[in-house]
This record gives sequence, C-alpha cells and structure tokens, in this order.
Amino acid sequence: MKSAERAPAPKGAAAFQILTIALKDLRSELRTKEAINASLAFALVILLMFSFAFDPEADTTREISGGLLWIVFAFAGTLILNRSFAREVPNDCLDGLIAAPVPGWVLFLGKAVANFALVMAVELVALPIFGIFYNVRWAQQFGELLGVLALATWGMTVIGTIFSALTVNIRLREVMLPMLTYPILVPALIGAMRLTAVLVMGKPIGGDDAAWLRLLVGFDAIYTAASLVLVETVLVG
Amino acid sequence: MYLLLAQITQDDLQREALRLQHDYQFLTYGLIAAWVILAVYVMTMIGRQKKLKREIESLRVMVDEK
Amino acid sequence: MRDKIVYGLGIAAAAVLAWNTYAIAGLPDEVNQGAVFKIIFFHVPMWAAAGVAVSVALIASALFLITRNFAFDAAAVASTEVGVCFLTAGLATGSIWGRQIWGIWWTWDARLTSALLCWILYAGYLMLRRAVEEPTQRATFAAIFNIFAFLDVPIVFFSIKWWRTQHPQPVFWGNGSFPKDWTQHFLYNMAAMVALGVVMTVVRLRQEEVQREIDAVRRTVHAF
Repeated sequence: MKSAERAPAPKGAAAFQILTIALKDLRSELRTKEAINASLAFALVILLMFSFAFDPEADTTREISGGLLWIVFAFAGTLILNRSFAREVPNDCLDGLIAAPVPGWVLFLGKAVANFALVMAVELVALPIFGIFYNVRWAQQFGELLGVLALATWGMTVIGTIFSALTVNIRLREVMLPMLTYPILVPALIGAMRLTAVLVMGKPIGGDDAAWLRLLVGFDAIYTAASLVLVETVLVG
Repeated sequence: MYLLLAQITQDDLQREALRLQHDYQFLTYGLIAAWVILAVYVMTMIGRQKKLKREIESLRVMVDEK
Repeated sequence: MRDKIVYGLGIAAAAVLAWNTYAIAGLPDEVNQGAVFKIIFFHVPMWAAAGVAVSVALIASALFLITRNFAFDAAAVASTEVGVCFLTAGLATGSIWGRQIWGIWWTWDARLTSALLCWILYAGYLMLRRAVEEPTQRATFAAIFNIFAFLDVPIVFFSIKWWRTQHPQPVFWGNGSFPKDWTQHFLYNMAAMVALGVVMTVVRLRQEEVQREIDAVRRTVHAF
C-alpha cells in the first residue's frame, strides 16, 4: 500500500522546524533552569578553585588564560550537553520525537542550536567573572575572541549533542559520555586554548596559530557534516 | 688535524664509549619493548582460542545430554 | 586450509623480520644519532601497520552502517584491536628512542599528543563495545564512534608538517634525508610488519566469528 502522498514541503520548512525544536528546548530549559544553573555554578566554582590553586602575575595569567577558560567551558558545557537527550528519556519523549515527521538531521540541528545558545550564554557570563577574579583585561580583541569562542563552542556542541544521543540508552552513561567526548574534542580544545590565550594577550593571530584556526574550522565542518549524516542511524538504530 | 687528535683525552674516549654503550642499550630496550607488546597480544589471542575451545566442548556436552 | 595459509604467512613474516634484524645490525651507525637511530626500522613500520589497521576499521565500520552485515562489524573490532596493539608498541618504541636522543620520555608536541589521543580514542572504542550489551546497538554505536575517531589519524600524520614539533621532521617524504642504501631493508620491515598485522587481524576475526557462532548455538541450546 503506497503511503499517503504529501504535498512537497514549502521551502524554508526545514529552517522553521529547526527553529521550533530549538525554541522548544530553550523554553523547557529556561523554565526549570536546571542545567544552566548547574553549569554556571560549576564554572564559577572551577574559576574560584583555580584562583586558589595558582597565584600567577598578570603576564602569566594571560598566557594560561586560554587553557584555564577552556577547561572551565568544556566541563561546564558538558553538563548542558549531557542533558540534551537525557531530558527526553522520561515519559518516552524521545520516542515521540523520533516518531515525529521531521528528518533526523532537523531534530539534531534544532537541539544543537539550542545547546549552542545555552553554552555560549554560560561562557559569556564566565568571561567577565574571569576578568574580575584574575585581574585580566580580556576584551581588547573582543570581536576575534567571540569568533573563536563561537567556532570552538559549535564544535563542542555538535560532538556533545550527537554523543548525548548515542549514549542515552547505554549502560554507565554518566561515565561513557565524558570518556568518549573529551578525546574527540581535544584537537578543537587545544586550538581554542591557543587562540584564546593569544587573543587575551593582545597579540594578533598569525603563523602557527593560523594553522590552529584552520584546524578549528575544518573540525567544525567535518564533524557537523558527519553528525548530520549519522544522526538518523544513532536515533533509530 | 693532528693537533685536534692530540687533544683527545682519555675522558673523551671514555665518554664516547659510554655513549655508544647507552645507544645500543636503548636500542635493545626499544626492540624488546616492541616485541614484548606484540607477544603479549599474541598470547592473549592464544588464551582466547583455548577459552573458545573449552566453550565448544561444554556446548557439545550440553547438546549430547539433551 | 585457510588457517594453515594464515599461520604460514605469519611465520614467514616473523622470519623476514628476524633475518632483517640481523641485516640491520650489520649496517653502519647513523651519523647524527648513533646506533639508536635503527629503532626507526621498527618504530615507523609499527605506526604504518597501525595506520593500515585503523583505516581498515574505518572502512569496515562504514560498510557495516551501509549494509548492516555483521561480518563488517567483526572486521572492525578485529582490526581496531590489532591497531591498538601496534599503537601501543609504536608509542613505547618512540618513547624509548626519545629518552636516548632528547633525554625525555615524553613531550606534548603536536605529533606525540595526537598520537596518544589516537591511542585513547581507539581504546575508548574497545571500552564502548563492552558497555553496550545488545549486539545490533553495540555494532551501530561502535561503528559511528570509529568513524568519528578517525579524524585524528590525518592530524597525527600531517602534524610534523603543519607545526614545528619536537618529533623529527619527515625523513621519508617531503625532502626527507633517509640514507638511500637503507631503503631496501626498511621496505622489507614495512612489508613484514603489515603482513604480521594482517595475520593477527585474520586470526582475531576468526576468533570473533567462532565466538558469535558459539553464542548463537548457546542461545539455541538454552531455548529447548
């Protein structure tokens, strides 16, 4: 029996669907504010503890700023990304989403966009706090810094979202998710750390660092493409 | 050049000999490490083969009993 | 019969390696680094074999996702396991070599970091397989993770070209300076190591097939 013929979806329908899913996730998160509160609190605590652990002078602080900030962002961001698909498990919401007449990649992008917004929000709140606690002027090249932040956060979001989908049903989820995500993220994280440190120190990006920027862009492009292709397999099996 | 040769002392010769000895030592360590790792893997495979044979035997016994 | 061929190939590869080692010992010492430079005859072939193993794993994983044939899943796990073995040996030989040449066991330059990362990723693959019980789910997730993990491999390979590293610049490609008359021995070792890798993968594959058959028979026996 032929499945019912459907009128071809209007152009822009996919964008609308992605926006709908993203807004749904954002709305549900902002109502309870569970993950974002936990993430923000965790970021502050790590920043605080690092400031007790080391007492460097201004120049050293600027040099290590990249590493420090991205450790904070990676750990705090994971809290948000974990919840992404785990939130759908109670009450069979995940089954409902999979059964919905949207392509898998639309669902993935919707969640990824929502996660991206949440993680960026946490990062942009943590940055001024970092500046205050560590007495560092970080905003000299704010435009470029924002660009680097966006690129690396998108990479982190894509990997975190698809692995959240991957691990939602397996044993020892809490342990496996960090074990799988962080190694894959390392090239992007190292690039982000280098570039952030360079930008906070006030130097322009050039030479060796330009290679890291290219790596970051390539990382984002390749993993986004791979995730879009594979997310259907992950969700449906 | 003979002036340079004349300046070689006993210390220099000893240092060279020691360096050569260390070179060969580390070369040997390196090769031993590599082969030990491969051998360990091969031995785990042999162990797994034995375990598989045991499982097949127990299954055969189980089937015969039925 | 197939088993005999495989074991025969394995013994042949081991024999080539043994003979070659003897030949290499006779070669003159290298100018800059001394005798320890000869580790390159084993260090590089092991990494090459590892590279071949993980590439085969990538192809097997992709083919599994496309065809859903579990033979490819078995090939992926066998290949990755052998790959992890060669990765471990490669890291060990490199570290020992570095201790003699640079005085340090380890450094965090691009090449070594990405290589260690490669090891962690594929060891993580083997851990992931243990964490998922259901065979179809396990095979699917493992295949996807394998594909994601492979991105590190080109980074490892090209890292010495893209960045300035502690690890030496290319010796074989890109204006390398490998002594010409050593090339023959090097290629023998390379071929023998890859052949050894192939033999180990085939043996592991056979064991995986037998394990799956046993599981199937066990399920049937318990059903009645």
